[in-house]
Amino acid sequence: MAALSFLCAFVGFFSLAVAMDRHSRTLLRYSIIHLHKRLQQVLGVFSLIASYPIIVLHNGWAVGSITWFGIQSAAAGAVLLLISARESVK
Amino acid sequence: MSSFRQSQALLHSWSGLVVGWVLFAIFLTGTVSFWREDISRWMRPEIGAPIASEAATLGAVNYLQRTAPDAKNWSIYPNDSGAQVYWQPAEDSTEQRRRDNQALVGADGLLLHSRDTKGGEFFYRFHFDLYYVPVMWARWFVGFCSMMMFVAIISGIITHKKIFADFFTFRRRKGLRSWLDGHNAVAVLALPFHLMITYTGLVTFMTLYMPWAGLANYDTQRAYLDALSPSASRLESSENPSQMVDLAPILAQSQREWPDREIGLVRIEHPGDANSRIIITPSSSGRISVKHGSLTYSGTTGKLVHKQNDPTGAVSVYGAMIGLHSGRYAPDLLRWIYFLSGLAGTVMVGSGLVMWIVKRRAKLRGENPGIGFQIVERLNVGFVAGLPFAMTVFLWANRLLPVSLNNRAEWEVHSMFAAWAVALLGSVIRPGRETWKWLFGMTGTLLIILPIFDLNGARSAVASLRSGDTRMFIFSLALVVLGSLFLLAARGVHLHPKPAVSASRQAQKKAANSDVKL
Repeated sequence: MAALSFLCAFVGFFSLAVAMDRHSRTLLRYSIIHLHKRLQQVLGVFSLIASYPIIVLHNGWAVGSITWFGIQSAAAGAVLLLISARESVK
Repeated sequence: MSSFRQSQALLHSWSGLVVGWVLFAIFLTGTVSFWREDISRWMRPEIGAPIASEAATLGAVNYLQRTAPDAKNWSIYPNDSGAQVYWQPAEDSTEQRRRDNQALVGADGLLLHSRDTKGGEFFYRFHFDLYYVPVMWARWFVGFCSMMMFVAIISGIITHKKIFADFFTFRRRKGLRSWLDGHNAVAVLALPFHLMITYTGLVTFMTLYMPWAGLANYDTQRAYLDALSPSASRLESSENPSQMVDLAPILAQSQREWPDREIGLVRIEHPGDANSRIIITPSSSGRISVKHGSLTYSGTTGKLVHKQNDPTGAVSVYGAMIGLHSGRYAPDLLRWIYFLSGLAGTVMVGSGLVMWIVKRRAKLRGENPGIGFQIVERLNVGFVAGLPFAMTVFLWANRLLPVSLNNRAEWEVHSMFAAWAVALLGSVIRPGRETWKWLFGMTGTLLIILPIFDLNGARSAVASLRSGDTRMFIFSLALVVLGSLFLLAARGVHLHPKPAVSASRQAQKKAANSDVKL
């Protein structure tokens, strides 16, 4: 369940990054769906929100909430590393 | 607005710099303490597979009945290896008996024979008690530094102009830009953790730092502590000896009372007396708060005398904050998240310290740097690269020091500080890239060959895997991964495009050259 929640958060941060002008060129090639910027942001936020109940339903609200924060950090970090790696290859 | 931001930037760099080295040490040793039980088990290779807490408790009682039947009280903490027991010796004990008041006991009631070591507890204690200094001074000093950390985090958030625009930004190989990006990335991405760990760290010692609320409302310290951790009313010793009840049925009964909880502490007051009492407190596993209720049984009849439910309100909030900080409730996955977040915090402090130098070096352009620059440059190498090196030496000392050595546990610690002193000395004599590279390289190499050296011992990765001891296998693996990261760091310093000598040495050279010309 933690993996699913992480995946959800990763998709969320990825979508938010794609919606940013600075990163869109680096990431757009890897994006499965191409949406209008605003829609991309909505998808991102929705995905981040969705990652919460997934982990809370599994771990309980207390430990689940704490884990959720950690998962957000890890997912955002993964997107950051991905972007940074792609940019340095260019 | 911009002048406010500038003032915060100034506050950020100075609050971070002045205590930065201490914070680095606190963060790093605190972070590894999330695995302190595993570190302790790894450092005691003589001790076998984990045992159940009931068996460990019964073994401990067996030991205490033989060793300290006349003690005022016994405290039994069952753990992975056995049970850690403490007792308060009787008033009329000899000096020697007063000092020998703790032991590590196995399920058979015999002393667990393992090498004398402080284990992972050392890192844990060091991160708030330091070492070689009085504990209370250390706690005040660490509290001051934590407060500075809190100031640095908040002023850092205000200073950071583009938290959202730069959220995913890390530009590599761009000098100061990269340092700033990296510092921001580890700070922003794990910001909830940094705020939580700093704040709850301060809360842990709130009764030390801010005792006034307690002093104003309670007449004695005893009354205050009783309100904080309520339990059955105390009984004095009756001086009438009495047969102690068998503990096994009581442990089983406590298990029925609280089915989903494990034993954390069994305390026996006035053992062997008619007024003896057995107090069972559950462990923290699975519960965030570290403040728990307790079950009190009569030591002679075995009847439940008092059931104290988990505290609510202020005490439970206080307990939850301490629990949130120490992460002992956390299952393994969350423990890893804690560990990685802690590493992010360590990198945040370390990169902040390095950035101070990188920023000023860019402005120097070869001119002679001031004394402040030179001190910071040296301390940076000595702490950021020196401490991980020293901690690695601590692990090696655990394997290399002879088992029969007197005060062995102390010598392990001395070895660590000696290694740290050598690293600091090296950084004073020769600051800059060479020492960074050398220390990172040594740390990496030592970490990687440690599991290889261990292949003959009980904690060998192969033996652990064979006996199904996954945790110790992962421990060996983690050493190799960490070592590889340090080697990568050494390589990074080596490939760094800057000239091989540090700015201060460059300037010294330049000054020397100009002297010659004159």
